[in-house]
Amino acid sequence: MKLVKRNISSKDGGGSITLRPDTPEDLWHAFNLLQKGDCVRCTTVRKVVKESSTGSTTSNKKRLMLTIEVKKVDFDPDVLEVRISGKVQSENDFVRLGAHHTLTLELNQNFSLEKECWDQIYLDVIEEACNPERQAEVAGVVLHSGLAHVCLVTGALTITKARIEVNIPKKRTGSSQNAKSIKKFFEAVYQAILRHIDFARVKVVLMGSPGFVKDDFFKYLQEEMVRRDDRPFIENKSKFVLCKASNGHKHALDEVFSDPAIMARMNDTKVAREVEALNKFMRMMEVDPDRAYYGFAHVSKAQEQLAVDTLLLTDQLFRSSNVKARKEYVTLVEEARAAGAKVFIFSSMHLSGQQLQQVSGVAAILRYPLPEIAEIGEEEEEEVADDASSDEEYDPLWRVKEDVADMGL
Amino acid sequence: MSRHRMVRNLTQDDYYDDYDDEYYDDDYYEDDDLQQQYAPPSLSKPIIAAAAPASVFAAPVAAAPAPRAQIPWPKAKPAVNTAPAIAKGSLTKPPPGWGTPSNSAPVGVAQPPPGFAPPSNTASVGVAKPPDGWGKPAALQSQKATTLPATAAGVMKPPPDWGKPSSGQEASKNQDSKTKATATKSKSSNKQQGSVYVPKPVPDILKTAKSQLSMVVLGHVDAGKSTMMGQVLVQAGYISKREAGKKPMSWILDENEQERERGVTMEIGTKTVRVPKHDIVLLDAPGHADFVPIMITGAANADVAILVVAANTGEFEAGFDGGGQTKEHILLARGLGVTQILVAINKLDMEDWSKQRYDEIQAKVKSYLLQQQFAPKRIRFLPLSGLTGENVKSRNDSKLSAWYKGPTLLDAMNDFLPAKRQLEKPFRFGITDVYAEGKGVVARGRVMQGFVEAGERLVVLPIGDVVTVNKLEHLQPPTTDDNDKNAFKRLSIGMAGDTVELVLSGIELVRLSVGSILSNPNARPPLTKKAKAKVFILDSVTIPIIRGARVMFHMQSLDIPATVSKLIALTKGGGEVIKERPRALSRNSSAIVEITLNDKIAMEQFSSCRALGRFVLRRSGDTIAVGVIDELL
Repeated sequence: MKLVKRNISSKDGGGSITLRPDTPEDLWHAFNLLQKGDCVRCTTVRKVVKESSTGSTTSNKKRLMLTIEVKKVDFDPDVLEVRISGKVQSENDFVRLGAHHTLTLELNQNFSLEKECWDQIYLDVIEEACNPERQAEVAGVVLHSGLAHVCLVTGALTITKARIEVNIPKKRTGSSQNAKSIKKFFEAVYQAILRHIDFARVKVVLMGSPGFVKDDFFKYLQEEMVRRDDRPFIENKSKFVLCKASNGHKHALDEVFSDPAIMARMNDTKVAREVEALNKFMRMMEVDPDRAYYGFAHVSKAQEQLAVDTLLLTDQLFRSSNVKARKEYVTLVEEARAAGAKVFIFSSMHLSGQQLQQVSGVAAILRYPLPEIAEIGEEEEEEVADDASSDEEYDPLWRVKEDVADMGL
Repeated sequence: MSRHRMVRNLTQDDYYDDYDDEYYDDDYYEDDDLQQQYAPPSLSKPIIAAAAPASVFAAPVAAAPAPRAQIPWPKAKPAVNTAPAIAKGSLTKPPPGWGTPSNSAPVGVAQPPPGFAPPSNTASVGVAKPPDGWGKPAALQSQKATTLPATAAGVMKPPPDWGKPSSGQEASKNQDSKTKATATKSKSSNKQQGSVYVPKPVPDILKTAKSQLSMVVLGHVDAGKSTMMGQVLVQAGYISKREAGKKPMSWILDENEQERERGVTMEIGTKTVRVPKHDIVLLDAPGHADFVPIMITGAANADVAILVVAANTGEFEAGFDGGGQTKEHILLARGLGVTQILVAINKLDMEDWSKQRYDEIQAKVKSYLLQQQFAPKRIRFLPLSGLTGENVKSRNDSKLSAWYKGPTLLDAMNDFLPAKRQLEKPFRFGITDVYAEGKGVVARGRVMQGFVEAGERLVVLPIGDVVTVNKLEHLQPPTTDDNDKNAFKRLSIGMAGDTVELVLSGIELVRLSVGSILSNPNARPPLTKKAKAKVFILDSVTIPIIRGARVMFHMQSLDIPATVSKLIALTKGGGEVIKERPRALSRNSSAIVEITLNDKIAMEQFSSCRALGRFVLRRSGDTIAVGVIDELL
């Protein structure tokens, strides 16, 4: 991401910022910056209908610069797009003020974002996104007999590139079906890796499976790449690392990343740090449950007593459409930082972030045990969690309605 | 507060634990459940009305045809049947005590005598085969009377073409053709909707027939499971010595190249073997820690288990204490409903058939089994060597025969108690393997409850496609009574407990997958992704389970990512709540939790279908909990 222009008032934190996303990951960061009520300005395409004096209409597509007030933001992880819809706020020759429009943020296209207040969390996101040191991209392949996931893991995103499911008949006397379908399965995974992994950017390919599946597959891969002369594989053979995972479901990727040997290799990546922090929290839960708390009510109580040592949150909490709820979390983070705590903000596109989201989205490791906190009820915090999860839901009907509104119907 | 009690509460099996001795004539079935679930209350009335006269006819002497009014078919035992009395009598005799040589009677292992007649066997052994009456609760017979009012004269004899949709002699009156098509088997006339489930009458042939007994082979990796099973197959005469010949014995079961290359079982090996009292389906499970999910699919389909432990110094200890799979397998088997276990202390020849070593291992394993609530009577031990074949069928080594007088492995397998089958419950079939061959799409699996015949229409869940069973094949032809003219019918029926292959039509191979459930179209199990369940957290759990913990949910042959979405209560073994909404669940505790799966699957309350109500939770390669479904949400 490039920061093109920054115009933030030091008085009240209001102002606008112009950014240019250049990788798909930047779109994710942009998504995290957008909040209901903000104003976004960028170029977009809109169908403009003209009525002639005789009453006949002609319509053509026009590229326009529009400013809209954000009403709803969507991130589509499959095609990597951010869609923003809301009412048009700027005067224009072709579009009425107040008409509905949906913008799509595009790569290498400036957009400017105006907020009433840019708080620290936003500024952190911008800083992270604009950090020129690109973090390594890692490909993860988890498989077990009959099921495989090929994923791409970047600093803030885990993208499932392919999911392969093949029915493998069981062994039976005098039947070669088992061997045949295993071959078919391996071939599908081979093709998926070949197609989806760009070795120019990917530093390492982690392959995890239970038992010998990974070894069998790697053997197949080595044999086939020589036979077919698949250059990308032959040149990057050293990038494949075999490791252990208990199954081929997507969340087994987490196990791959928590493997100490792998962790050492990927020391600096965000995902490895997140997984480590979360594991530390889980271990604390076992060793000393009075020093590990989750849920906003519990964690903020602990913060009141300045007991928080490490604070774990998901970015989803800061996307909450409820401004008040967001402010509470921001305050929590700022207070914790001021008190010298380490703060990790997990990306909810990573499996570790999703896991944390399941555990109410906020957790803390304390400096000293606080057994009395456990007595406090959890009512409040459950509501917040529900709120956050409903945000996530994607309503196709809503989409259609918005689109219809956009067209001025 | 002992944790033993907790396990008991959790894994209690009503067909063994509490009833133990009454096991045979225990005709306690929860018919009420069945009714509430499938029959609308308004419709049950006329059925009762019809039931009363018919059952009186069927059992003229029976004084009280309807002990419980709301049950459409009375549970009264028809007096015609003298079986209960006999059954009671034979019951009081204890089952064959372990180690009493007299019990392991003359056993012709490989081929049972052609005229093998169950009753005579009963006389000699006293346990195996109770008289005809057992296994079919008396209620069934009256049920038949109920549903076949017109043919009441031949109460026990269904019309020749019963079961075919078009046959409905009684299915006349106000049925429209659509109902006829969907409500395949019902003879009852008062149904309006295809969704009303009326249980099929259990055909006569099944009342005396016995189902296959599924036996899973458990144990730590390299304990010698496959070798021992290979030896069983050779000694029982299924595979000639010459055929087995030079290859390692385990290759009989490990048929995959990778398995042979590495010398490790990776998939369930399924074979059949016949002993006089049982048609046994052997499920040879892998012992390697990475393949526990596969072992779970085996144990979920098993009635009884053989646990193989290696006796040689160091190996037993490694498999049992040092993080080996022996204990995990025991826990899983128990949690998945296996209640009889035979412990084969293998490789004892390497310890020079030392009785001391045998006793030492026996004591250790036994105490652990008892902890896991295996009934003492259902635990048996025997020494053997799978490699040499000693004590598999016979004993040659004088060192062993000097102190061991008990049964051989094949005799011990013969002495397993038959499992009780639930024939009158709605049909459920769990697919364990799918493949296409010349004959069509074949689904192999086990009938969990009810029964199925060739020609039936079934629904595949969760996808909902309707298929027709073109053909039904047993892995080995079931043993039948030679005097019975209708015995051949058994061949095309798969009853609860049988492992069969169904040739299906009306579906593409790709639509079917392992783990799908087949059921009757009008008595489907519910599809759900959320359930309230009782779980028992195992002591191997290091990281406590908190709300939102991500786990793998294993049920039958399925594994599905899931989250523990709510911790409802921490309970004592008896079910009393210790703490509501606990913050975390740590090892050795029982709890009520809410589980949310990523996908919808067919599952049921434990009370209505055992097989679909039991599950295992795993996390990063460790088993963390076993449980039963309490309520679907």
